[in-house]
Amino acid sequence: MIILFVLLGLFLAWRPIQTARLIRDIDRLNRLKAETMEINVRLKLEKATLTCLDRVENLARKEYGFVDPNQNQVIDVFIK
Amino acid sequence: MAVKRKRVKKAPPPPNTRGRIVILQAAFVLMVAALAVRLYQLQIVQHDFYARKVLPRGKSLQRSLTGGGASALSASHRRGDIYDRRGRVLAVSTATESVYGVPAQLRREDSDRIRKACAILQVSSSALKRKLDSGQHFIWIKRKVAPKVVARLEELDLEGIGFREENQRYYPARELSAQVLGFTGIDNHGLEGVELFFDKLLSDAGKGNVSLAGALSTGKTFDLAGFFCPAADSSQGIGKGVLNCRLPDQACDIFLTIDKVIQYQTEKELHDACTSAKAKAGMAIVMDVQSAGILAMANWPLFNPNSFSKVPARFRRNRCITDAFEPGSVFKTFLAAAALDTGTIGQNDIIYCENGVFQIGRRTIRDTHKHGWMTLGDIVRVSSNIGSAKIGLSLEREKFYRLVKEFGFGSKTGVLLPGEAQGFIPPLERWTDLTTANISFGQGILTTPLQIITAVCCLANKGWWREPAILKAVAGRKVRSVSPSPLSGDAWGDGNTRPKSCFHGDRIAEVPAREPVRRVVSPSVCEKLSGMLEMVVKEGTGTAAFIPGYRVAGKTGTAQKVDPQTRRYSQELFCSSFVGFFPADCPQIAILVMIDEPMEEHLAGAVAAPAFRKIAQSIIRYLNIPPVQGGPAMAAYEARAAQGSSSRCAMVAQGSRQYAELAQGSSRRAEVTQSSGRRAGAADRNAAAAGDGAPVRLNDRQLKSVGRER
Repeated sequence: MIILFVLLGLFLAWRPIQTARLIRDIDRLNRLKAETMEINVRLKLEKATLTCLDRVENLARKEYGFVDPNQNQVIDVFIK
Repeated sequence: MAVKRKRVKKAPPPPNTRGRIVILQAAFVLMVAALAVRLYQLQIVQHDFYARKVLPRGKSLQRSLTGGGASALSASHRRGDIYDRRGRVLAVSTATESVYGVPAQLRREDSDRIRKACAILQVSSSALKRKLDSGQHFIWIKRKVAPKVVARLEELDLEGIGFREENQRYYPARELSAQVLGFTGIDNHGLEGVELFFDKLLSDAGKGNVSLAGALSTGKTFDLAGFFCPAADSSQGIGKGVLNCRLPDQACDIFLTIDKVIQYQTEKELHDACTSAKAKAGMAIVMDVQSAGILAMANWPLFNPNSFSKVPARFRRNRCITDAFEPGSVFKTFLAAAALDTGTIGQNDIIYCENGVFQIGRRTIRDTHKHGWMTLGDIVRVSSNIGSAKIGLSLEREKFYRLVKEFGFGSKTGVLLPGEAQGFIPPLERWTDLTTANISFGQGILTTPLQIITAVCCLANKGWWREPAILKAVAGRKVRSVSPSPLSGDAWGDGNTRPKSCFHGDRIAEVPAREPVRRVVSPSVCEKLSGMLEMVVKEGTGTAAFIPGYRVAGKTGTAQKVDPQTRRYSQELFCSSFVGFFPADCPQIAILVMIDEPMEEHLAGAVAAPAFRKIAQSIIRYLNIPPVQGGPAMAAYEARAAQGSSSRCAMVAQGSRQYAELAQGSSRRAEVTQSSGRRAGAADRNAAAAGDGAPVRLNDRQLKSVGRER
């Protein structure tokens, strides 16, 4: 009888503990998701900054010494 | 009566009871001890670990939140991102920290440590002291500080200083389309441009039923029926034009019709044109003719919206829509359209242009060059003010006024941007002969650059006038996902793939394409006008806009500006503009370039037309617009394709030859222009001798005899 009561007590105690644990896990995962999304946003921002056309053109001209081609060096290829 | 109590004799305890009691007591003590140990472990030993898990900001925040009155603070919501038409980021929000203080706790701190904190935050200690003495329970010390600063402050471990997570708006492309995008204030609410207009869509709406038309600050019709999923909709007003819907309770990302690459090229060429002409300002708009979607809207000077407060307010204005100018000769295009549409003047009618001087009342109208008899096409080609004035005077005023209004002048276009000016067309009852003559060549009226390009798009689009569009799509969790429309394949670019990089990502809904509002002129009139505008680029005032291998139609406009001091037309201040579209036979792109107060050279053909050409050439490459069918460039390309040459060297050689041929063709055209001009001069003299200045209708044989070479 005592064993039965003990088991019942354990079961009753286990449920809220398990619920609390799951809530904690959900909370942790939500936070992880938010952090990951924030990292994603920062990476997106960094990508946008690095691929900024003004920056790319400046790099090309100043760092790599690129120049505009002459008109007769340009061939327009049109894809039908 | 005495009650006799019965004495109950207690049963003796079983022999092992005492032992059981001891065991239970011991178990109880052990459990309590275990609980105490676990509590000690959680509260003392692992305190920091759990504190970090719960509050990532660390001890300072925890102390402030528990000790001060700041526990009610909640994290601010994230603002939606802005993308271009191909899903490239234009504006994005990231989390950042703001530093706040609880004066009651801060006053207890050591003054040296507070001074150190001020040095880290670059805040003057006297200003902080004033805030501390203001008697408030909560003060902002500095908003939106860098993570490094936060880390250094945390090291100081000050009592009464806390951090609140906020969102910082960034514009990674810096100056790119700054005036269109606008910017947000310290509280993340839009203050200008798209940020202001779509503020409620970009920020967390969550305010229940909101009229989207109201939310978008417009009284104009804006049908977004079925835009949001049913849970987010209310049935009111859907399908009735103005949409009343329940905005989603979260921020949405928006996609604009702006194309980042086209915008960059446009801004770059506008910058070059303005700096070389030493102009006060410049504006340029690129528009998709079919959908009236704005592909680029550039203003010069530029400003960086990441630090907008450092720039005067006049640079932050989107002058393409907020400022109205006298259009000048560009307006002759619409005069010609009105003349052809009403049938007042035919293509073959000739008008005497008074050899450069024409008197209307007390006002003398002049042309830059002396012209005699000219057809309507010639008047547009050489941009004769006198010819235009005569055409204007021959039109019925009511009809001319109605067409001018139908082209969209004098009223807002309805673009979804804030601060649009409606321009000015004098009321019909105030039109005199002089007013009519002035309006005929673009004086005495005010139009915004957007109105001009929208009207030109109408001509390029077989006479259908559409409202210019800036919003392409909305993305968000509660947005109804729509199947790709035929338009979306091209419009999104990169085949049929949709942008994947948006924040909320999962659902994107395209703004339904707007139906044409009205047909202003007939397709045949548009066709004739297109031919006339082509001649402007081939032989007229806009030859600098000529692109070898392509049919370009356009019109120059050099408008005198009113001197604010003398209140008369200035001889030094001009507004030079060029508006056109290409390919003329199947218009795809319309471009307007307007240079305000150029100092070096003021003629539009020399200032604005070259900028138009450069923008157009870059768009041709970017959008892969092939040369004219049957033209030399296309023939060379097709010959190359037929050969199937894979050798790059061969292609380079062919390309060089092709360009050389085109250049030769262009110079031949120039010679023809000069000689035909000389012949036309002789014809003018002959025709002038014929009689008065009234329009004369000629047949084809007579046209040949006056030296027209078409």
